[in-house]
Amino acid sequence: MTHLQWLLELRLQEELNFRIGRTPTGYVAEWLGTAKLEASADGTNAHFRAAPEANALALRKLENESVPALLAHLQGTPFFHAACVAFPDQGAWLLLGPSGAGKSTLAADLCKHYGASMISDDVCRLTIDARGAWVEGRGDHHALCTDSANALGLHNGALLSDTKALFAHHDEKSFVNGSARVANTPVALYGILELDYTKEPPDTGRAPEANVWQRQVGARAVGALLPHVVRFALDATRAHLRDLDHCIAICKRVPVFRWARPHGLEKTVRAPATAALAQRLRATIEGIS
Amino acid sequence: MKYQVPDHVYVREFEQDFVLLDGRSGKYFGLDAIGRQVWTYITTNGDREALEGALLAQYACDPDELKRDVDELIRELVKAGLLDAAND
Repeated sequence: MTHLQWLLELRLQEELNFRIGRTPTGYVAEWLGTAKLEASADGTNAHFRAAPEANALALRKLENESVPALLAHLQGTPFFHAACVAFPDQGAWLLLGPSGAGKSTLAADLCKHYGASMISDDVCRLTIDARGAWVEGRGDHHALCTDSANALGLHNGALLSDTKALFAHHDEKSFVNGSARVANTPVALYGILELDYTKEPPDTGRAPEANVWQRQVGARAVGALLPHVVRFALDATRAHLRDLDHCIAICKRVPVFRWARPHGLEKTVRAPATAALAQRLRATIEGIS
Repeated sequence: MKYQVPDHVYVREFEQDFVLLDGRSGKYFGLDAIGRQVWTYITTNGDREALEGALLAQYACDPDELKRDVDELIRELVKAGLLDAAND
């Protein structure tokens, strides 16, 4: 009998949605109702099995993004949960934040209205060499919640006018497929942006502060990046240490900022907040730090 | 009192700060420049008087408040498993 110990369980609306476990020889990741991945501790002998009723697009997204990212963590090359866009004359911006922080929506908005190219909306690989830090997307499916797609004028099954990108519906998410503007080669990473929402000051009745922009330094910069490493070896000290060192090395090369704006999709999409952000992202680092 | 860093805790320096990693859980913690100074004192010579004197020389603050803040930080670090009381 195989001994399996669950190390992480994530729930979506109270229901178990994703979990990672440890076996005597390796790791297991399970997207409940969709698929299961098993691999040796060094990332070899990987087996990915789809559930009988799994959505084809959801499976393709897992196979293109999450599965390679999880296996890469076992092999020593971490990926990050992040959206990423690039401006033609500048480089790439990594957009970080927890689920629901608006990464995909902002990335889509910057691409549709502000001249950015989509690199990834979910999983990116960050590498370092003597010239700097580089980012590379994995998937060709772009995930947007229905509200975001509607607010951006992108509808299920519709073609995104300037990219010929297809949206197809899956549960509460929409996927855009095969965008011609997705960059598939490493792009120089120019900056990292941690997304947050401004809070209404308690007991004041005043509106939340709009568009707070802060440079993050030291442990705060590392702390912005580190939680977004796609981890599979959750119980391996060596992997924890390697992830930390990788994040510090990236933060030494690339500035990290925090951008907080008022909550609410209707306030962020095609609103001055996004325009102001686009302007900041295009500006030089010296000008915005 | 002197404290020691357990074997499972890894310390990395980045800019003015320390990042502490609990290698067992993967949890990490940040220490700013002041916290870093406290950490360095209590894990090397353990001389609280020297530590508080150095901090008072750098920052205009109430000595009692400073002492309370240092105690609180040490308590938090011990509680998080990032420091152990030294045996010697």
